[in-house]
Amino acid sequence: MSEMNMVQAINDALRLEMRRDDRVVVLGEDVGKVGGVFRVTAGLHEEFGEDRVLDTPLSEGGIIGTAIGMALYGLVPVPEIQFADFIFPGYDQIVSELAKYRYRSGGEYSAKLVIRTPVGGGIRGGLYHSQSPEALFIHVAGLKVVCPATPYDAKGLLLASIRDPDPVLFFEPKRVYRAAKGEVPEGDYTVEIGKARIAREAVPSGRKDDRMVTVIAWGAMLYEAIAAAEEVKKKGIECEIIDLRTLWPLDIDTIVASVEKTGRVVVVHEAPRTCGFGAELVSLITERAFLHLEAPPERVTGFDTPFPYTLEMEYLPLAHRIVPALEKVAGF
Amino acid sequence: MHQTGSRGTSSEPDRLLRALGDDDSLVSGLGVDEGTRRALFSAMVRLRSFDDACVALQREGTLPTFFSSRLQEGVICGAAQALADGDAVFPTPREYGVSLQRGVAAEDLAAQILGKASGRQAPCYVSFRSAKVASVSGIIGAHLPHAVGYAWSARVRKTSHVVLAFLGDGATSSGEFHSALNFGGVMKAPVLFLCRNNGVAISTPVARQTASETLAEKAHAYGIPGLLVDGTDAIAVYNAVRTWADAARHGGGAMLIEARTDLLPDRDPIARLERHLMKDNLLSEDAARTIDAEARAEALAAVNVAKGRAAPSRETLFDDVFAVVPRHLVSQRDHA
Repeated sequence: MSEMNMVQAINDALRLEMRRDDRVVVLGEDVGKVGGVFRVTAGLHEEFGEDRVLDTPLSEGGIIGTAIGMALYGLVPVPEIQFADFIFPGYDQIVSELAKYRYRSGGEYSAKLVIRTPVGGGIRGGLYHSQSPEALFIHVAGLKVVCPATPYDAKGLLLASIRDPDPVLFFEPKRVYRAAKGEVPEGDYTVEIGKARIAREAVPSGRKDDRMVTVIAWGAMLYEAIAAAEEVKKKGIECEIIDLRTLWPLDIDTIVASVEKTGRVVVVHEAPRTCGFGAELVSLITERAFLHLEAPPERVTGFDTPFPYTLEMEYLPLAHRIVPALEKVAGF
Repeated sequence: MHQTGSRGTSSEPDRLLRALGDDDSLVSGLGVDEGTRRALFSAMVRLRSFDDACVALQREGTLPTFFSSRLQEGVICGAAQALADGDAVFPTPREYGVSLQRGVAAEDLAAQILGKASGRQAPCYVSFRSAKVASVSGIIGAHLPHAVGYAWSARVRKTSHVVLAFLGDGATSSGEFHSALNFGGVMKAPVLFLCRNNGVAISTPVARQTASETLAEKAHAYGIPGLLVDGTDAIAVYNAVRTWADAARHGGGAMLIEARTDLLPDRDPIARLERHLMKDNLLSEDAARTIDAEARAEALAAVNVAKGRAAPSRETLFDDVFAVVPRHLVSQRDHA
C-alpha cells in the first residue's frame, strides 16, 4: 500500500494493465509524450512506445471511431477525451456506433473499449471544461458508466472496466484529481462494476425523534455530501452516504436497503436538474421503496443553465446547498 | 491503363483510369488473367440476380426498404475480387452483396435482409464476422474511422491484412470522412476508401456536396494518394484495388479511390464486361445464359429459404445490449 492521489492511481492502473495485457492501447489528444493535460498518462509513451500510446489528431469523433475499429480487431483501446465537455463531437460515435455494435451485429462483433474523461466543475474551467454529461450516456442502451470518487476505487474500477466485456464511460472527477488521496494497493485488484459503497453509515440513535437521511452522490460531490453530513450531525440528523461509484448498471439494492432503513433520501449531482440522473434515481426509489419514505425525496443539483465561469461555486451543489435539503427532508 | 482527361499524369486524380477501351478490348499491358475476368463476371451476375430477387421482395411489400446495388456491381465486385480472405470490408448498405463474394451463403444473406437472423437491423444493414464484413451503420460516413482503426490494428499486430471501406459520394461531406482520411494519413494505416460516385445522394447532386472538381482530389489534402477510376469497368476497379492492396500489405498506407458510375452512356458494368469476354472468346452466349440462370435460381432459392425461417423470438430483443443481460433488462424482459 502507498498513498496516492487519483491521478497517480489511474496512471498506476493503466501501467499495470498495459504490462499485463499487450492488447491494451491508449490514444487521445496529447496523451503521449506530454502524458495528457492532467498527466494521467505520464510515462506510458516512454515505457510502451508509440504503437501503444498514440498522440492523435484533434478530433474526438476520430479518436473514438478509430478506437472502435481497433477494438473490432483484437485490441483493447482506452481512449482519453481531454475534457468530458469535448466528448460531444464524438457523441455520435458513442451513441450510434459504440453502444450499438454488439446489438446491431446480432452479437457477431463487439467494440469493447474504455473512454476515460475528466468530468465536473470547480476548477475555474468555465463552460467548456466543467460539465457533467453522465445522464446523456446512461440513457443510451449498451453503455456502462463509472465515476469513482477515491484513488482506491479509481484504480480498481479502471482495471475492472478494461477487463469488462462491454464499453465503459469512465468519468474522472477532476476537481479531486489531486485533492482526493488515499491508500492504494500496489498490485492488481479490481472493484466490481455495478456495486455502490456505503461511504458513511447512519447509526440509529434509538431515540424516538431519530432523523436519518440517505444521501446519494458520486465523484467530487461525495466530499460535499460528507461535509454536509458533518454539519447536520450537530443538529441531530444522521446521514448514510452512498457513493454510487458505478452509475450504470445501478446498484439499486444498496439504495433501496438504505432508504428502507432511513426513510429519507437526498440525491446530489453536478449536472443540471431536469432529466439528470437524480430524476431516474428518485423514480426508482419511489417505485421500490414508496411505503418506506417518510418525506418526498430531494434533489440538490446544478441548475438548468449552461455551466458558468465566474459563478461556478453558485452553480455547484456544494455542502451549503445540501444542508438545507437534509434539514427539509429530516423535518418533513 | 487507358486514361481520359485533359491534364496531368496518371497519378493525378483528374485522370479517369479504365481497363476496357471503347471497343471493349483490354488496354494492352494489363496483366489481368482470364480466370479473374471470368470470376468477376460471375460475381456480378450473381449479385445482380440476388439484387433483383430482393427488389421483387420490396415490390411485393415483404421488404419495407432495400438498397439496390444495380449498376454498382463493377465497383463492388471488382474491389471484392481484389482482396484476400483475411482482409476486412467496411460496407455501406449498398454493398450488402459483398458478403456473397466473401463466402457467405446467399440464404444467410437473405435471412439477414429479411430480418430472420437477429432481426435487429433494417434491410441491408448486414454483418458477417466469418467473412470479415463489418456491421453496417445507419449514419453516413460513421464507419470510416472504424476502418482506419481496424487497419491500424492489423498493422501493429503484424498481419498482412488490409481494409477496404466503401462509401457513397454523399459521405464525402460527412465529418467522419474528414476524420478518417486525416487519421488514416497520419497513422499510415493500410486502409482504402473506395467511393462510389453515381453523381447523386438521394436527390442531391455532387455539385451540391462539394465545390471540388473531383472527389478523388480531396485525398491530396490528407497527404494520401487519390485515384479516379471508371466504376463501370470492373477490371479497372479490380486492378486499382489490387495494386493498392499489394503495396499496403508491405507497408503502404491509406488511399482514396473515386469510382465514377455515372459517366458513360452505357452504365451497365455487366453488359460491358460480357461484351469484352465474348470479344476475347472467354465467354459464349450459352455459357452466359447458364451463369445467369444458375444465379437466378440460387437467388430465388435463397429468398425462399430465408422466408421460411422463423423470426427471432421476443426474448432475443434483450440480448446483446450487454455481454450478459443485466438485471434491469431481465426485469423488462420478464415482467413487461
